[in-house]
Amino acid sequence: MIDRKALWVTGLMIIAMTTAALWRVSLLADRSHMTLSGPAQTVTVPTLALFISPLCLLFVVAVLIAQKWFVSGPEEAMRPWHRWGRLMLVSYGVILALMQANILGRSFGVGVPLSRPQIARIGFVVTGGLIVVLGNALPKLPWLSARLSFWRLDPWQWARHRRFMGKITVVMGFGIIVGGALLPLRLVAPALICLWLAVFTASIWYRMKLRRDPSPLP
Amino acid sequence: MNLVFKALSDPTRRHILQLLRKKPMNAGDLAEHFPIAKSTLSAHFAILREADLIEAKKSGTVITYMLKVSVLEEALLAFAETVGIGLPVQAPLRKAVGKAR
Repeated sequence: MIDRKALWVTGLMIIAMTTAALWRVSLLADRSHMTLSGPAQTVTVPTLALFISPLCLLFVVAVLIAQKWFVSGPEEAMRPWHRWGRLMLVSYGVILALMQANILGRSFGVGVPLSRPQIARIGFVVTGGLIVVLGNALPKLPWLSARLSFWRLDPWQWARHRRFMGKITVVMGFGIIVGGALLPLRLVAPALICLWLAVFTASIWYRMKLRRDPSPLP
Repeated sequence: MNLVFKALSDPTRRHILQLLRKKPMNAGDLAEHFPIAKSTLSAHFAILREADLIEAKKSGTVITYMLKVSVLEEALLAFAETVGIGLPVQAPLRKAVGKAR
């Protein structure tokens, strides 16, 4: 779920990041690759790296917009969801914009005096922290009715599902913080994919379990 | 956050939250679990609602209460329950404290 204001802010962020990426690519002699300089080493990367941040943000916006089509509820129930979505989008957008700015800066020979692994680890820790905050607030979000009957939960089942999701999302956030800070970087991406798949599977399993259990609500 | 700490510091209110973890209940059902006046229980409900730890749904004359706690609040509830915040000091412990003084 996303409100108009958050959509505007995020849309502008995506446009700004994409424009900056296109502008940087237009300045390159070889438009397929660019050189990033850093304190430890200089590396050549595909220019597509400049488009990762706006694409990631666009993906999250698309997911939140799509989510709106699957649920319905009164305006007062939507408002906390909009606030939650806004916090997620704007925070995530800021993280991605900073990453984008760092890549752009390095392509010009300036940037923060940290190595790429250090920046990646900071990114994982901050993202994990954001996921912890978002997961913590999940159980407080009000009930919404799903448009698809097989996906529908009553308010009691919904509350239990939200509580469960909140807990495993917080655990996932801490997992990202610990994994991002301590694991060898080549293992972080596969570990995160496994973690995300485990959370997704657990969510589906718990939803099915709740639908089988009799609800105390009439 | 102060409201949450205040709400969780009382054993009766924690007991209400524990009962609501199992299922949503109306005021009458909850009152059966406590040997206290209904007005006192209503005051507890008001504090829990003020702290945004429960939500009330009114259908006709019946108000059904449901749990509404964040992950952190649930962890605080479990902690307060484990430590026994707000519970009267048990007799042997009271004696030991008295001797130590």
